[in-house]
Order: sequence, then structure tokens, then C-alpha cells
Amino acid sequence: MGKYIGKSVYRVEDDRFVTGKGKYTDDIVLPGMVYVAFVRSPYAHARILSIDTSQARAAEGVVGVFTGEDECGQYGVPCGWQVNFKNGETMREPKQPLLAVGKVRFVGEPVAVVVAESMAQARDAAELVQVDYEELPAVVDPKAAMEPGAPLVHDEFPDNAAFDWCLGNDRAEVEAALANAHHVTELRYRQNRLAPNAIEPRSYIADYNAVEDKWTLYTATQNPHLIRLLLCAFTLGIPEHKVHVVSYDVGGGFGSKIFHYREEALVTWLSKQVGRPVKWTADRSEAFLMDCHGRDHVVHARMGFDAEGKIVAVLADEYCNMGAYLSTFAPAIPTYLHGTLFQGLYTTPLIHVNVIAPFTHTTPVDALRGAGRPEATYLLERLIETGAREMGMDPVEIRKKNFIPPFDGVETPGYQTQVALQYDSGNYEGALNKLLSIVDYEEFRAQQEAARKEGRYLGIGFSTYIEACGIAPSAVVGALGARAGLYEVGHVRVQPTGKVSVYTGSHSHGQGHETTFAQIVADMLGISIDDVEVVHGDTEKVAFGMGTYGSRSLAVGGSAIVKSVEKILEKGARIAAHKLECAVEDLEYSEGKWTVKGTDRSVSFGEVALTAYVPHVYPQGEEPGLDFSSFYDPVNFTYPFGAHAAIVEVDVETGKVQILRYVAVDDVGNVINPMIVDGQVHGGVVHGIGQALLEEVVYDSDGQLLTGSYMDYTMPRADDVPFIETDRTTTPCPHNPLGVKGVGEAGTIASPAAIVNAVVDALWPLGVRDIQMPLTPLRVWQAIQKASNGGSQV
Amino acid sequence: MKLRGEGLVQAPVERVWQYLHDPAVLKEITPFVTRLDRVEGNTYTSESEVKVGPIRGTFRGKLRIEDIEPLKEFAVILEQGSTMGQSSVEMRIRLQEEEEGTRIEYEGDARMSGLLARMGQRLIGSTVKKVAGEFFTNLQHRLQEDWA
Repeated sequence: MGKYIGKSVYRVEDDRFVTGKGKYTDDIVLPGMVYVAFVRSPYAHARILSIDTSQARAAEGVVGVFTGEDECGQYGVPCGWQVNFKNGETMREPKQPLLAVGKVRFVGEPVAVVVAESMAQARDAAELVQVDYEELPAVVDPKAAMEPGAPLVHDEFPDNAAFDWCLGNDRAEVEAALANAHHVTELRYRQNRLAPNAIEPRSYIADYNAVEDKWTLYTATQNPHLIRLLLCAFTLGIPEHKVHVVSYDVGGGFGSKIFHYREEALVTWLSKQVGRPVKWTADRSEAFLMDCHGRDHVVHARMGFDAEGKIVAVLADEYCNMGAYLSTFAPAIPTYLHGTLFQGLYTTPLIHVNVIAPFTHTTPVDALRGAGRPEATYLLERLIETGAREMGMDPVEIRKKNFIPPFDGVETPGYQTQVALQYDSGNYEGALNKLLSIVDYEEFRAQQEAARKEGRYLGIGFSTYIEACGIAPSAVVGALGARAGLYEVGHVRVQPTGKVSVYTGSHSHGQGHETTFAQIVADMLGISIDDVEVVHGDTEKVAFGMGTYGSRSLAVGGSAIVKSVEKILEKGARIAAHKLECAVEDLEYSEGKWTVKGTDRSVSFGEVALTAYVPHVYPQGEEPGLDFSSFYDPVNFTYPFGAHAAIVEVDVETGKVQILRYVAVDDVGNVINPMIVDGQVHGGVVHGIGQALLEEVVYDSDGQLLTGSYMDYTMPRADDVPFIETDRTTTPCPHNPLGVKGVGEAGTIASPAAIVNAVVDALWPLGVRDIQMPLTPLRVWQAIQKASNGGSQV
Repeated sequence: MKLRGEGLVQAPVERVWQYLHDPAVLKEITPFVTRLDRVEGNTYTSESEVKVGPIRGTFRGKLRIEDIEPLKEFAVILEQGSTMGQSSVEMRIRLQEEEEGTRIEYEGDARMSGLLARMGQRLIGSTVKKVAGEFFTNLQHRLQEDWA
């Protein structure tokens, strides 16, 4: 360990963020720039009978008005992942046009676009576009979409299913095990649908330069190169080297800025049409309508136990909403990022998961922080705790009976699951034991007992989770239907003066790459962190990249940088050996200099850097320069895990849940910057509190979005959040050079189950067995009333 | 969304009925309405300027009166649209003569789309009550002015 790795180095990016100097896409104003406003469908499902743009075209300041008839992006927006039916049939993939043609399929779908000299003029003119619709019946619930006679989202797909997929052991075998089990716990629930709510709305500026026949696209995205690839090769069919994608600071994504959206392609297309730079920034209302939502599974889950509490089988049947079209990663979320996690931390011998993914007349659903893994964790952790209580066992003891024993992936091999993955390393009981020592579990149970006598209802809930991060080994995901490789690029350029520029293909939208990556490079080279600059988000500066999602930046992006630094040190050693007139093997490198072992003769990193660029005295046959790029393709996913506990008090008169304590013990492998890791856990847990207690996207039966503003969609606020206690265990990842696993999603994955388990624990004596998220006071109160009325509806 | 309410107007049912079928009067006494023109028979075109919380804009549409049972009951079907979305209202209006005057009951269903549904849903119930209240007051005044 050097000076920086493992230290809470202050984030270098925060100076500009907290002083309002961050550079976001919407801050950019280009000469001659025009603005667009979209005309969006007010209906969830309707036939477009006619569109009259004449008034809008005549309005003041209008540069152009375009509709789906204008052949913009005739190929449509592609989907990046193919998941097939279990019978082998190919996934059903509707065309997603840039502007609706013939029909609209969700509220907010873009129908026409107005380009004008000012934002206000564009919006005013958009109001003048007259669209005549014939409203058609809509379906919003994923299970209802599969009922016979349900309205069809795409006429060519007769039962609304995008796919019907399964994974794991033979279903009959799993069902037989459940039939013979000592006890079976069964839950039916809905994973509430969430909106992503990045603080910065999506924003795009496209600038077509006729002289070079080239576009610059400024975009708030999580993956600039991927957007360029999809935009050029699929949506617009333009040469990839003719588009320069720039993504400066991005104010949060949570998954919603991974995807390639229609607006992005449209502004690019429009810029050439009108010959001017074209800008669009979503307003909050458009963000609710168009930014892909997350979750929305209708679940039937069963877990069978033997008499000792050992899990004998897990069976899950889910309807997972795709929305009206397949977004970029949508098919992968409820399948390869969800079904593959049903082993959890347990030795379950038989697992089967079946996922039916219907189209509905709603906003497309795709990855949202955790993406498939919070849903898997929720299912397992609700089942195991419910099972324990039903059998009169302790929720901690039952977990300990089922944990996979510790393994490090080096001395002891990785753990092969029933659902396609091989875990890299883990010590699951270790994390839970640490958690218990912090919580003081025995003491809490005594307090709980005493409080109940006073009529106060306290509860504790646990969630022991695992996630698959560090996405991903390309060959593996390729075999699973990914249409891209998921390696990362790290380019390290040593300047002649010894300053270092690091170009990473991963992308920061708040994660602190500029600090973490600089810590690694500075330590490896033994130089000051001030001499390292991290550059990202520009396709002409960074050779290539796959971007940031799935907690992959450090494990994959960081490892690519490590590979390049290693190459620099190797070449630097050859230059140093030449200067010192010794053999490379005689040198050792530390604190920024190469020293001849056992002597005081040394040459500094700066001197070697200068020599590489001023190669007057130089090894024969060695190329000048000190500049290396590496592609790193991981050999496996990484598998962070941990144990979280929530302690709550429920006011049984009002149904209000208060979180008294939240304790998170995470094992994310080695830690580069503990402060950033804690920050990610805090943010993740708060996100999970939102899902557990507050947030839900609601459509009415006509497909109208009822939660389209912060009047109706409740985000967690400061007074909803307790002090979050964090701690860690460390089980290094055995297969990447940093031994790191990733932390961006851990809190979101673990926390909903912990909180709901805690509330059910508090209310178990009243007969409450399950409550649907979000646990609003109304729902909690209703659950209490229903239980006290002997199960009848209030 | 279900809508329901009532009001009492101190006038005989014949006069109330007459006023409720006179577009010029209706335009004058109904809040927000700026135009109401007969197209033919019982079909009208309407325009209103709405300003309720975040909901503001010009709504244009069609109004139809159906199922007329003179002096007793009729149905109003209103379909309006603006850039904030579409709304359609189907309302049954019942008149009943009582000692103090005429009781007017309304009962119906409103459907909304677009921004109107996202932002307006929670405002509609209270707004309709308020609008209906003003409508009955205005109707009363107008009847008093004309027949006092």
C-alpha cells in the first residue's frame, strides 16, 4: 500500500461541484443554437389519425416541424441484449421509431418535434401542432397484459410477451422438492415500479459541422462510446468516425442515462436537417414520462425448508414489465441480472425461476440502480425470514444454517451456483457476525420485548445479499445474448515533464473516478496525486470504452488502468536501466524512482519520462514515448456481499414507520477510498428506503401516469433517513489486479428487504405477514386492520 | 373520476330549465368558459381559459346534450383538449322542484389524459365543487336580475 490507496482522499471533483462550476450539458450554449420541444402522446394507446403542423410551422421563430413521416432514423432505436424464449424462439423485438408512426403506445411517446430559435418559441409552437387521435384500450399491468383478450401493444405479437424465459434446475424436480418439503413459505407481491429521478435531467446538444461533415453530440450519458456506436451503426446509419460524443459532468444516472434514447438520436438528425446546433433538455415532467422506469415485477415465490430449516428448493414465477418498447438493456435485467442471483448466499440445491416479460402501454422499463439484483435479494430475504418466523426459528440462525461456507477463490475454489454463475470469493457468515456485534442482537430482542409490553412495536429485519458486479466477462455475456463486449479501456499517457494523464472509458456521473483512479495511478507510480489527471467522457480523447453501470468502473475500468501503468513501469525500467548502466533485473522501483538494488544510485520517474520524449541517451531499438493503452476483459463477474439490518418502530395507530437504526456491513473486496465507498452505501441505502417506504410509479387503468410530479411521487427526504452506520469485512476479489468488487449498488440491493422484514417483525404479533411496498402509513395501517379483523378486507 | 354534487336555486323549474339550455347564459355564468356556440341542435363548440394551480391553458372542444327529458333530466357530454391533455366529462343533470325552488343534482364521470392527468387529478374534485358552487351562485343572481 502506498500513500493514497485505502485513504479517504478528498474528492478532487467536489471543488467544482460545490461551487457551482460543474460543466453540465445544459450549461453549454453554442452560437446559432436552436431549441426543440416535443409533442408527446397524451394517450397510452391511440391511433394517430392526422397531424396538422401548419399553424406550428407559421409560428414565430420556428425553424422546422417534423413528424414520424419525415423518415428520421428509419431504423429505430435498437435493443442491446437478446433473451430468447425457453423453447428457443427469438425474443420479440418491436421497432422503436424516433417519432411515433401510425400509433402511440405510451403516454409521453414523442409524436412530433418543433425546432425554434428559443426554447419558449419551440414550446409555444409545439402547442399549435394538432394531432387527431383515436383512443384505444390500454393495458398497464404485466400480468393483465398476458390475459387472453388483453389489448395488444404491438399487433404483430399476439400475446404481448417479449419472451418467456427460465433458468435453473428442472421445474418438475423443484416442484417435487417443494411438495415433499417440511414447510413451504409462499409470497405474492409486486416489486413496486420506480422512476430514476437523477437530479440533472437528460440533456443533449447536437452540432453538425458541414465543413467536416461531422457531428459533435454533447450528451448527459453514462456511456459515451456505447451511445456513439448505437447511434451511428443502428439508429441513424452514419459513419462512427463522423460523430464525436462529449459528456462532461453528469448529475446522476442510476441507470437511466445508460440507455440510448430517441431524443438523443433526433437532435443529432435534426442538426443536419436545419444546419444549426440543436439543444434539448428534459423538464422534470418529461423525465417522469421518458426516463426508463425500474422494477415492476409481479411475483409468486416459494421457498421449501426441511425440518431443520435448511432450504430445499426455491421457485419463482414472475411477470416483469418491459413497457411499450425494449429499451437498451431491458431484456437482461429480469433475466441475466436477476434470475442468476437466486442462489443468494445459501446452499439451496434446487432453484427454478421463470420470467414472462410482457409489453404494456407504459414507459419502457430498464436498469435502475441494482437492476434485477434488488428484486432477487428482496425475494430471497423476504422468503427466508418469513419462513423462519412461520417455523418459529430465529431469522439469524436460519441464515447461518444455510450459508455457503467461506471460500477465497484461491486456496478454495469459487462456488458454482444452480443458476449459471460461479461466485469468486466470500465469507458470508463473517459479514453477518460483524453486523450482529454492531447491532447487539440479544439486547435488541430484550428491548423489543419490553417495548411491546408498553404497546410500542419495534422490529428488526435483516438482509444478507450478494450481487454480481464488475460487468462483465465478454465471452460469458455474449453467450447470454449481450450484443456488446463488456471490457474496459484504460489509457495512461506520461507527459514529458512526468505529469500523467489517464483516459478511462468508464464514465463518472457522481462516483468520483477522478479521485479513485488518480489514487491508484499515483500510488503505483509513487508520485503525487496532484500530478495525475483523469479524463473521461469524450470519444475523441478516450480511445474506446463501455461506460459505467453495474458497479463496474473500478473492477473493470480500474483494472484496465492498472494494466497500462504496469506497461509504463516495464518500459520505464528499461529506460532507467540504460541510464544507470545496469540490467533491468538489478532495479527496484519505489517512491517514484528506480534504484540499483543495494546502492544509492537511482533515477527518478520524471527523469525517465523526459528521457522517453527527449531520447538522446536511449536504449537501442526502444521506441520513444511513455504512453500505453490497455483493454481489460474480466474473467468473471465480481460478487460483493454483505449483511444489513434495519431497526424500526411502527406507530400502530397511524401506520407510520420510523427507521431507528440502519447498519450496513458490506464486503466489496479491497477498498481504494473508504469515504467514497461509505458515500455509495449511504446513497444506495437511501435509494432503497425510497423503494421500501415511499416511491411508486402509478398508472391508472387507461395508462395515464398519475405520479408525474413530486406532488405525487415521493422521494426520500432528510427526515426519512436515519444515521446510517457502515462497516466492512474484506474478502478480496481473486481475479482482478486490485482485488476490488464494486459498491455502487450494494445499498439499494440490500435495504428494501431489511426494512420490510423489520416492519413485519414488529407487526408479526398482530398477525401481519406481508405488506406491499412502498410501506406507506396507509398500507401499514390497512395491513394492521386487516390482520386484527381476522384477515378480512378493511 | 366520479363527480357528484347539488345546489338549490330559488326559481321555478321552468325558468331554471330554460337558462340551463341557453348557451349565451351558460357562457356567462360558467367559470372559465369564454365561448359556447351552437353548431346544430344540441351540439356546441366550446372554449375555456382554465387557470387552476399548475393547470393553465386554453381548452377547446365539443359539448353535446343528450337524453333530454324536459324539465327533469338531461346528459351533458363534454370533450375538451389543450396542450395539457384531454378531458372528457359525462354528466347527468337532474332537476327537482321543491318548496324553496329547484334542486339541481349532477352526477358523472371525468376522464383525463396527459399532463392534466399527471398534475390535475388531485385538483379536479375540489375544483369541480368550487366551479359548481360559483355556477349555482351566478345562476341565482342572473335569475334574480332577470325576474326580480
